[in-house]
Amino acid sequence: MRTLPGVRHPPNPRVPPPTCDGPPTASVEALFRDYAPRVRAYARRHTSPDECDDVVQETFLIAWRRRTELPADPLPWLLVVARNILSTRRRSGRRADQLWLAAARDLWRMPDHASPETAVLERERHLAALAACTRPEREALLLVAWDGLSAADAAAVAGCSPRAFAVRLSRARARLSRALDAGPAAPTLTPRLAQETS
Amino acid sequence: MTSVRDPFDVLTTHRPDEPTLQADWPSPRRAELLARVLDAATTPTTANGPTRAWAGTGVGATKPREPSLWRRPLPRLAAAVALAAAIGGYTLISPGTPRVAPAAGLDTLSAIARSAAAQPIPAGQFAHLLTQSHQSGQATSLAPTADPDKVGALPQGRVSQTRESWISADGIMWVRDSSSAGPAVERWKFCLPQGDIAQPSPAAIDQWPTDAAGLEGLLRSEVSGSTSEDEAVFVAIGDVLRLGYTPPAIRAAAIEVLGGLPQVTTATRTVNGVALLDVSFRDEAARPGVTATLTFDSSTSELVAESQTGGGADYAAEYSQRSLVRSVPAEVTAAAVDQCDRSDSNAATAVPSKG
Repeated sequence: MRTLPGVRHPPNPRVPPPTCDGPPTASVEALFRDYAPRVRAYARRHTSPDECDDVVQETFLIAWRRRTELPADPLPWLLVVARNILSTRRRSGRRADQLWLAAARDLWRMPDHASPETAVLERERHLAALAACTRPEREALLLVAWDGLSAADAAAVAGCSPRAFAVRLSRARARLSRALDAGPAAPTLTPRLAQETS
Repeated sequence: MTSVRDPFDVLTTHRPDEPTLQADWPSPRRAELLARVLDAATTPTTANGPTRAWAGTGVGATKPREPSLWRRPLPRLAAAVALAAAIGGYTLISPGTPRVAPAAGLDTLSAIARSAAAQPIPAGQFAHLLTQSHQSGQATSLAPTADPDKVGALPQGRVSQTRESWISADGIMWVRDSSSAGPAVERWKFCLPQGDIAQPSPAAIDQWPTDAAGLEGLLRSEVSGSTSEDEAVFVAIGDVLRLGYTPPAIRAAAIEVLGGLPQVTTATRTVNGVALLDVSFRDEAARPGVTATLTFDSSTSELVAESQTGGGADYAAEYSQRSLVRSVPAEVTAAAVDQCDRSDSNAATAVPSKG
């Protein structure tokens, strides 16, 4: 159970046989092109922008070194590796709590059909609702909604059991809805972001 | 705009797509990073461990960690000063340490902890701790940087950091950080959460198991962030021991858990009359050449220092000056950046800001 560090419930055993086709670097290059942006987007929520590239680099070097262990769907595996790297590079944990906000604001896909004002307002409402969630709840929401993971894979990345994750996600969705029903965005949101990014 | 959609569906709808990711991380930067990855990946390794290229990337090696928000205090300031002077920085493990044995001495250390009296932080007072740490060999973000896009702008040499912290019984913590890597002094206010095993509030840790099996079970159920679960447990125990308010019974249990890890060895040494026990974790399969060490005062069982060597960077910290004070300096409370996550804390309003 140690092929995936820190994960007590690893993803489904979908490990393909090692490939012998082409130079080994081709596989890591393809892996990088396909998944590095998602890994970096995950890292953006957990560390400062200037460290994200380092986290991505370390993640893919580990993927290279352990390429025979990569599952068919490598994103959850890569995110677990990135999470572990982030954990060992941990800085001031509480400060990192606010990094997600800058990342979510930057990476929020703005719709083409809405006016900019409407789109920004909707984004801020939802970010404020996310801010009302606890850190684990928020992470659960974003692992599924943004990183595109299944609940089982997200549980592996979150480092908890699938059952615990399901409960967490359910609570998160409920809290998110309640926060949206409660009212407009918290006025302190922007100043706190400014503190983080300045 | 009022939406009737499930907000979770809204989140999913606004999941960053490729153009958004591209805007945040342009192709030239991606290509540059890919080149770095490929360059490092194709550099051959040796039978004796990672090559310089691998080591330089930190792959397979835990990055030296910035000290967590709490450090185990040294009960005797004079001993701390002597220890710091003798150590003189970061290499805490003496080369050729003569007395090394698998986990020897931990039973005695645990027994000393079991016999120690609990010293909770009194209501209305703060535990004042001073931590000095040193890191070398790799870029660090200890220093603030004005340009978040300026990768590699941080110093590569040795960086020293001093952290002063004040914590109340109800989990409010004030921090003042200064670093040799930058002129800025940073001040923070944190609210320690209930459910964080790395930094539980005093109330939360009082509920933890005081037997080794129970504590190990708790840690193994929660830990993450290492190349092996045993390593994660070792790291988590370091987190527990340096808190500054860990009950002695939990410290004893933590020491007993250390004794059960197969990768742990111990070594004794004496520095200026202070008997020390180095408890080292080394896993050659997972992290070749990397050793993490927790150093205990053999007579009190307190954690007094820790270090990590190998993997292209060294890190060390010494914990000193524990005292109870009745207030936090006004210059700290006035300038502190409030980092309390009130949705995740049990102590958000326990102590009003003096700023």
